[in-house]
Amino acid sequence: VRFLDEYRDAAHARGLVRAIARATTRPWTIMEVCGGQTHTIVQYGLDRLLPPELELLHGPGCPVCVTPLEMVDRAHAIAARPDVMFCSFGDMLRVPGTRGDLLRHKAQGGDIRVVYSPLDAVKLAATIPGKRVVFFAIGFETTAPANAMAVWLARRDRIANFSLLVSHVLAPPAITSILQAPGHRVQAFLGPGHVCAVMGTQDYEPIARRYRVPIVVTGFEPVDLLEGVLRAVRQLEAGTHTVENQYARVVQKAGNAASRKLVDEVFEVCDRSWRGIGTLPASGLRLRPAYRDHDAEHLFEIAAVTAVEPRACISGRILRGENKPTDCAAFGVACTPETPLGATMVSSEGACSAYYLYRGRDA
Amino acid sequence: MCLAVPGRIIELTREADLRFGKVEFGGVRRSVCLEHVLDEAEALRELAFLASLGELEDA
Repeated sequence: VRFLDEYRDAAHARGLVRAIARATTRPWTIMEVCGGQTHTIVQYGLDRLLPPELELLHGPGCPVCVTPLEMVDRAHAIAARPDVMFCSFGDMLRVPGTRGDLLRHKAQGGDIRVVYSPLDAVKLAATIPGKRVVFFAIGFETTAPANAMAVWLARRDRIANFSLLVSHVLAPPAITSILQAPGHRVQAFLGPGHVCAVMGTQDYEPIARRYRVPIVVTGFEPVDLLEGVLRAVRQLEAGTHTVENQYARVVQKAGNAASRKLVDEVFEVCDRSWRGIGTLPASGLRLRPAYRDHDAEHLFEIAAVTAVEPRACISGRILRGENKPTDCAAFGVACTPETPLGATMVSSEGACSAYYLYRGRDA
Repeated sequence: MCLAVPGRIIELTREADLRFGKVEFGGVRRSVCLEHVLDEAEALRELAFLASLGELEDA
């Protein structure tokens, strides 16, 4: 595919690997924020091409992984209603809730649909007025504009049977919480490229300054990631800590103005609970009161649905970069993508699933 | 979820009074909302950049 192949070019990648080796004189620990970046690193074995002084830690940027179990159970409670058609991206359907996953609900006759865009769910609501159509709006800033557009359109066109179950999270508070954790090991970040495509890079500048940590906003192809590592190493070796943009072909400093405007019109910042991390202040988005009639949390009485996390799984420590998937006794034995114990094994963006898919049980 | 897939716009349309387009992703076509796609000046800058990549590829 054009515009992808250039960033998967082996000769270019080898050149970057050599440049990284030349630039590295001391041990450094770098965290890539996004699950998509983790997957590219593990799929192409980029971590194994780096000099032994460099360690990559896998970050919290897996939207499915950080969605609290409680929210999954609330989705199940809504989807179980006979008058509801529940719509979601496919990867959310496999996440185990307290009582099975949404795919099992579907197999038992529940009206659960996989859509590729929240606008498809709005279309379903407009064509099937007899059903209450609920879309599961999860994810980071990247998915917020499309979700905002869907609910904005439903309100404008008075599609009363469309609502969003919102569990949106924001990247900067997660990065800050990792830097505030006592004993954290992260010395530089590869920043979330597609989050920054929407929101811009300005929010990362105070973090880089305050915690004296280089942040290189980075893309998702192998060449992008190696260039991100090279830029981070050069900053670490030089003792600087600025925000750099490796992903300039997609990310502009101010982000996408139209997206930011719509997200701000539809959503407001709120506290959110993160699976494996806990509640972080001002770390998520919820619908503004003007969108109350399209807010599934308001329409369906689900506040009483709470859940307790299973203990066996260390996905919380993995999401914080404190452990690698291979540190877990259950990895590849009791816990596989077919029978996942936790979210980092379920999601196609989770670190455990990346290790299992590309390195197998003996990762 | 936070993926970006390069696609080629083959046709500009309007749906629900919004800018839409038929977009081809490696042979698969679907209707996509283009409301937040860059304005023309930005798009031209982007195209110039992509063209420079093309020259590298052809060289």
